[in-house]
Amino acid sequence: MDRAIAAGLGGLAAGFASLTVQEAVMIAVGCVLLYLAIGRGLEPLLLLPIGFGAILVNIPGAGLMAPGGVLRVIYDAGVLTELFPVLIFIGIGAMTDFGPLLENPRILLLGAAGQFGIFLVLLLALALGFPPLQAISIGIIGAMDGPTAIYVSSKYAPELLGAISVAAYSYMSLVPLIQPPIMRALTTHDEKTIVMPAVRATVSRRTKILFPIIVTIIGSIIAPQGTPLLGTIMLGNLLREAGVVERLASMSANELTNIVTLLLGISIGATMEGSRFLTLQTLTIFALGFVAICLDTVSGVLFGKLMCALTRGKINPLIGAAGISAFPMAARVVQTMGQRYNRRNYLLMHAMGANTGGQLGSVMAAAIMLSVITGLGLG
Amino acid sequence: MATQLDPLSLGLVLAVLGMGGTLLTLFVLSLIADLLKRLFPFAVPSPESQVPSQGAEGALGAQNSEPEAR
Repeated sequence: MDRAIAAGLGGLAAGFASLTVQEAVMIAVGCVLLYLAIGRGLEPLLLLPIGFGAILVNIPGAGLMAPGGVLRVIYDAGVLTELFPVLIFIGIGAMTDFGPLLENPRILLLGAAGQFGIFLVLLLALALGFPPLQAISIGIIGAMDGPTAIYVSSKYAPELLGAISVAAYSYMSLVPLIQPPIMRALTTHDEKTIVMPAVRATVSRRTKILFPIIVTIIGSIIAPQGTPLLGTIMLGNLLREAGVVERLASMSANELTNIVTLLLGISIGATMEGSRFLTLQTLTIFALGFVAICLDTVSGVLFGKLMCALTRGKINPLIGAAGISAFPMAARVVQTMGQRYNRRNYLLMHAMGANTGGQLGSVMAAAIMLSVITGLGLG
Repeated sequence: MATQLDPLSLGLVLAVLGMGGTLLTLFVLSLIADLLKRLFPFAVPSPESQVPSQGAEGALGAQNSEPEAR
């Protein structure tokens, strides 16, 4: 009897006995992510399930990521198949209003400039010795778009998925802290105070319906490898703008996105096993991700200055900073800074246009990257 | 082809094609958006032709028009 009690107690203590330092650290990291999500409100929809997933996967003996484990099943079904990111894109499309962008289509170019960080960090990662496919996946953090980063890294560097996803979502939530110093440094006082006229709602319903259809056809023909990304975001947007499938649009923007976000977050957290996550490589990825968002902001603002010069001062260069995919944080940052220097200046809708251009730009940049590497025989 | 390129050359190829391709594609899409706006301009419906509508134009038209005197 005594022996049986001792054996039973041994079973209860086995978890503590086999807990490694790395697992303990990762459980702490998971708790920090939960704190950032709950206590600070930073990207809670993703960081909360990611943090909890990180805790779950580092419980010794639980085997949640072992073959047949519940997290392994979810991961294999939704991440390895690239299903979750594309489903989320349907929801993003259903939530995105391209109206402000269509008011002034030329600001779509800011959405291109806001992606240059991807390619510059890709160069940097290659210079640091990362293999090409890993470097591409790291560079895509610069898209500042979680589903895009997850799609590309799950395709080409699944071993880096956890680090890349956490870096992408963390830096997206830190946009209000990272961007303003760069915007201040790169623009003059006169440029900051340029007043842009109010956006008027002058886009016809027919234009809004045709835009996602034509973008899908043209964009997919240019970069066929990106069709899953571009096609799904535009499908979601068409559901929204068509006006005849409100149930589907509402479901995509709410139920579908919510369910997939939860499963995707847990799956990402499940990739953060201590033995694989706590490496110098992870820290390097975080550093490169930071450089990527800084370079995105720099290139966006510099392109904004170029457009300002070409239009003889009609475009406030600050809106260039919103040419990234972090929606709507980047647009809010631009509005806040514009008002700080000129209280009569309302840049929000212009910045929203650039921001939706950034969403489209990040998808196109990833699509072009995927097609180029396929053409080079890398993918 | 990729195996013949050193990392720096590969990075430069990807950067040039990636940045150039993204910029060019979005430029083309901006031209298409501009063309769509010209082909299908926004029209504020006149008060006589107004019917209840869920579309963007209908909603905006209702906001922009003056209420009918009865």
